[in-house]
Amino acid sequence: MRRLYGVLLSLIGASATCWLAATDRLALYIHPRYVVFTAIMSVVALALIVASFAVLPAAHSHEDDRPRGRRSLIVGALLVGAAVMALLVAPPSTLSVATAQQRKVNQTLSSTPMSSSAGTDFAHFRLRDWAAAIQLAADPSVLKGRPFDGTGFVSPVDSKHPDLFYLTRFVVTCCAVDAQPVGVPVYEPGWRAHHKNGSWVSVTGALGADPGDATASVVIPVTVKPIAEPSQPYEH
Amino acid sequence: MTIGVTRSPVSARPAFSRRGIAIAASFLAAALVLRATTARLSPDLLPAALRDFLTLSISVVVESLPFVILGILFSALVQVWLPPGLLLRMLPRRGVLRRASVSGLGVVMPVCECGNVPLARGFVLGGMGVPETVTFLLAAPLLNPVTIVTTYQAFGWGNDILVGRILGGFLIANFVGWIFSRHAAPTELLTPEFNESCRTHGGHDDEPRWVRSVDVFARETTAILPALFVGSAVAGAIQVGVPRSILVAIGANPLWSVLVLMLLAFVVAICSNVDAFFALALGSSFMPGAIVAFLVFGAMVDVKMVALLRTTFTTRAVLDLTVLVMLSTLVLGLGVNLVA
Repeated sequence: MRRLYGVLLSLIGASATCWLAATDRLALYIHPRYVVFTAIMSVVALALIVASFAVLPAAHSHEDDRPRGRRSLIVGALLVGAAVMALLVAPPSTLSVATAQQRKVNQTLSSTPMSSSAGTDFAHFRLRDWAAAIQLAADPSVLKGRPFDGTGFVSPVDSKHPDLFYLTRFVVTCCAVDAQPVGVPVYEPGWRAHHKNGSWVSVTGALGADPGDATASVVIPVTVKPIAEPSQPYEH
Repeated sequence: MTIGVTRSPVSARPAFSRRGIAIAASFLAAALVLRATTARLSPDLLPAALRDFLTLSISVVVESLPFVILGILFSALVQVWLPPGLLLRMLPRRGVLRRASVSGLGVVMPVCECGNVPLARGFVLGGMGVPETVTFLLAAPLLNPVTIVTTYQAFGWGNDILVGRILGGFLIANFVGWIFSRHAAPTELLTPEFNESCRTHGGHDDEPRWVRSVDVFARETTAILPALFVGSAVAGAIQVGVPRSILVAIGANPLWSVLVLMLLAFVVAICSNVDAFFALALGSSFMPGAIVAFLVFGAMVDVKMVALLRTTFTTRAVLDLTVLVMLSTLVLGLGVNLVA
């Protein structure tokens, strides 16, 4: 019966993955380009799991002949319990603002690829395109007055810029492990009184010079509206 | 758990148990109902650090699990469906050529590093030697079409990164395989449990092939998945605890950049089929040799792979393998930095 231990772990992993795929939440963990392959392999696993329960208790195995210690059983039970708690009980969630701060917003921005729809058309810019344009623009006046409309979560810039926050998103190239935070600086004095760290907001406004540093571009917002976390919080 | 199974009076073959199917369906339904119910809870119930730990760990599991399943399917193909010894007969007899040939098996079995572990276990059970299997384990994640295409997509032919990854990976895999071939008794590098499995393997040829395939699935998931889950949890915990910005901040030094990206590769444990996209984001901060080291070392050894390798090899063997790959990759990375 020991052989059903791995089957049980497979069932926990495959059922959680199938549920995430069916509810369109698999992209919280992996890039959408891998969703179909992952879902197909999970269904294959489920078929093998059902077949295992159907035939293995009757099939003989030398591994089942070996005595198993109490310690081995306890460790196995703990691992199954932990897998159930992590994959089936804990609610699915995105990476938090704490990870954005730990990985430093815009640290790898210069090599983060532009979104495929961006080109040179500002109307199709996504958050990472704006972040790259603002950080890399040699002449900030090029961006001045450009209308801006974006959503993201709030993360602080640093203590030297108390009136700025980053409108932030994670860019995922493979899975949540490689998520890189990118952000657009938004100028809103006293923003901490209105927005919690990590809360999601929708910002409309225009690019302009930072009142605290004329050589830097920031978003001068017209409206900053709190919103619920979108169903696809990452950029890919 | 007792499951009633009927046996045919004229054959020892196990019949399909409806009760077993009902039990599997009940477990599956319970898992899905539990998942659907608890998904309505607010994630804010958990502290941010715990949430991020879970998200990162689950991300590694969800990313790796399909490749592990695929690797097990290939393993069943080798163990059950191919004629016994066919693969071994097709390989050259001479050690160097044999290991070089085994390195190329990744081209026809494009599985990432974690999926290669069950496949490699299948090779050993089918009679392949330990040095050849080690060579396959190290080379196949790099010399497979998916890895090559994604690395090309990310870096093109520039900076010697693609060539460094393919050629460097091939040389390191064969070097480590050669070192392992010098061992007086290579089977001593396997865990006693797996050695025992090798000795008792192949005693159930009276059972239908599909039953034996299901048995391979159950046996390999029992060996691999606990290691995958624990390795993923360790990878998630390290990423929450170790600020990546510290590592990235020292990327401009020829030596330190290589060492730091090897450490990063070990920690993040990204699938070798897609790690080039992650490395691309580091391209402007690190030297080309460091990127090559990241792409080669991470595909061969990482925190999750160490846990997976321990299902098959002794602690000493895994340690030797890790150190050999680490030193070889360091030389490769420094070499690329010198010429690039």
